Amino acid sequence: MFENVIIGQYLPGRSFLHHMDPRAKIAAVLFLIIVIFLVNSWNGYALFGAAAIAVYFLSGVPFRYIRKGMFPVFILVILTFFLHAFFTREGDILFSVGVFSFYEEGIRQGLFISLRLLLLVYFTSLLTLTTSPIDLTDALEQMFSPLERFKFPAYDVAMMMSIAIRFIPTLLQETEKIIKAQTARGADFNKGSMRDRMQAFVSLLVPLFVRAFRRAEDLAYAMEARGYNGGEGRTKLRLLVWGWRDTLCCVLIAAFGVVLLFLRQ
Amino acid sequence: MDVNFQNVSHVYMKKTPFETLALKNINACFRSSSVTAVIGRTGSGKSTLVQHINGLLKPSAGVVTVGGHRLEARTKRKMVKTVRSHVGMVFQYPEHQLFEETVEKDLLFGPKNKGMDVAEIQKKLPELLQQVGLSETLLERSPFELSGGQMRRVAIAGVLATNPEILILDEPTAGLDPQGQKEILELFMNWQRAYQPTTIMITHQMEEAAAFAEYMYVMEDAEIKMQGEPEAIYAQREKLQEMDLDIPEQVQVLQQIERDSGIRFPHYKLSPAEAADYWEHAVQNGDVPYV
Ligand SMILES: Nc1ncnc2c1ncn2[C@@H]1O[C@H](COP(=O)(O)OP(=O)(O)OP(=O)(O)O)[C@@H](O)[C@H]1O
Ligand SMILES: [Mg+2]
Repeated sequence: MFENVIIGQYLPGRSFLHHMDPRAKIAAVLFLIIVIFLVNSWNGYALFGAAAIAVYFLSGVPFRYIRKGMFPVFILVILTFFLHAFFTREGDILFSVGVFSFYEEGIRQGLFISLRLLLLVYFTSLLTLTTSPIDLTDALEQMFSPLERFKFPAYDVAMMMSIAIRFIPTLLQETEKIIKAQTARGADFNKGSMRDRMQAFVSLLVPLFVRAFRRAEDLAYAMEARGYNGGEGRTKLRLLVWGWRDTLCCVLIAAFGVVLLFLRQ
Repeated sequence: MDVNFQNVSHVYMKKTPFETLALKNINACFRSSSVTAVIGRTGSGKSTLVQHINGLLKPSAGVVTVGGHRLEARTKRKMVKTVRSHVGMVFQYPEHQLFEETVEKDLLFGPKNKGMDVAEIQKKLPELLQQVGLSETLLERSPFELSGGQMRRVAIAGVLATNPEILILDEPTAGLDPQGQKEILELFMNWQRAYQPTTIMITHQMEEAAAFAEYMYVMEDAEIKMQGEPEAIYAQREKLQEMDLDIPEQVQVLQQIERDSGIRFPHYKLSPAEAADYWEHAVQNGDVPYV
């Protein structure tokens, strides 16, 4: 039933990107997101595209995963393209269809915005495809920890995130199990009258919530019994290690940013 | 209803790095009104196998025939629903499927979905509760205020309420103490004797299989590695031990007596008292020397 859900979209692997420190990856993606809004020339987008292809080969992720991840955004991209193409009226008229005229600037704007969106989604999905959720939360916790001076509970937020992530597969499994059990009792989740389907969903949700609350309670007791009392002075089993790849990546990306600045019109 | 597996394979998460072949070219037959046990260590594919019988899973290749209906990779939903209405399935920890406000409503959930005569079944509910060892006063209670054992019995009753022609038990005694396991098993045995559904029971405990089944399939690594009557299976001790399966103690004792004295017991389901009686008869008739 959930056979096609890939949790957190993470794909285990041993590629260059998989071996990178998650902090470096997050920083790189944030940087790319910012600089992509500075690009305003064809040369700039060509360079960005080349970078995207290079990163694809470094990631070792099969293309169909990227395609599947990007598909929902595609609709948005096409919509934005046409919005711009229709409503921007600058530059020369390229061609007309009926009452609509397409201006050079409109097409250009449309293409730029679409490319921006696509590249944005592309780089963020590569981040989640090559970084395990736990690594991501660890990295976010460290990156947010300076904010603790301003009473931002970085540790607790990270703990909550990792617990939530930890229980996603469990919840999915449980959901699948209960769906199967109720289906075996004749419930139909896809067809039938509104009333029957409501009934079917109730038969799924009630057990799911009952179990989830019970599990939360058990977990709370278990954590307390083992002396959990927040992040104060707690050491980590899994340390994030900054390696040569990460430094290299940061240097390359900074250089990339500089080149892009020169390509601006 | 007969159930037949012909060259059935099942692949989970096809075309992903998580692809698992959970059934490999399975051929099996479950005769009408018989009791069959499916055993094997964890992950060997037992649950996957039985979930094909009510169409919860569809074969990746091959055909499952259930009382004349064919279930294949491309079988339509409607057909699957028809088949499903004849099959009752008790899962591991069945109490997790309870959800209604009262026990009575929960028991009627299955019959209602399967389009049965609800009023008729409602009248029989007190009897049904009794058959699963509960008092009929529970009917108006919320299933969530019952004890764990009572909840499990209610859930089982909810499956039996449709009086299925095929009854699938996927480790229904998991997590119970030995006494509780025995009681639940007896409950199913009594039900089977009374209504004669084709019963398929999954377990990884040989004792359970021994007490109940006429025929056995032993699964390992997505395949059926052994099949036959329990006696024939128990005779192949080494092969079973390779699969981490132990012959029930009771059978081990009887086999040891056979080896030592040359007596042949008619079957290994004999209780110690029955075995002693049989032994005494044999000695009196002079079939075995007194040791
Ligand atoms: N929903 C699923 N998605 C992916 N793989 C699965 C799924 N269910 C089972 N598997 C895999 O298929 C194989 C067989 O699983 P199955 O549940 O049939 O085993 P089992 O014999 O019932 O084990 P157990 O005694 O633990 O219940 C296992 O390797 C399991 O990891
Ligand atoms: Mg199982």
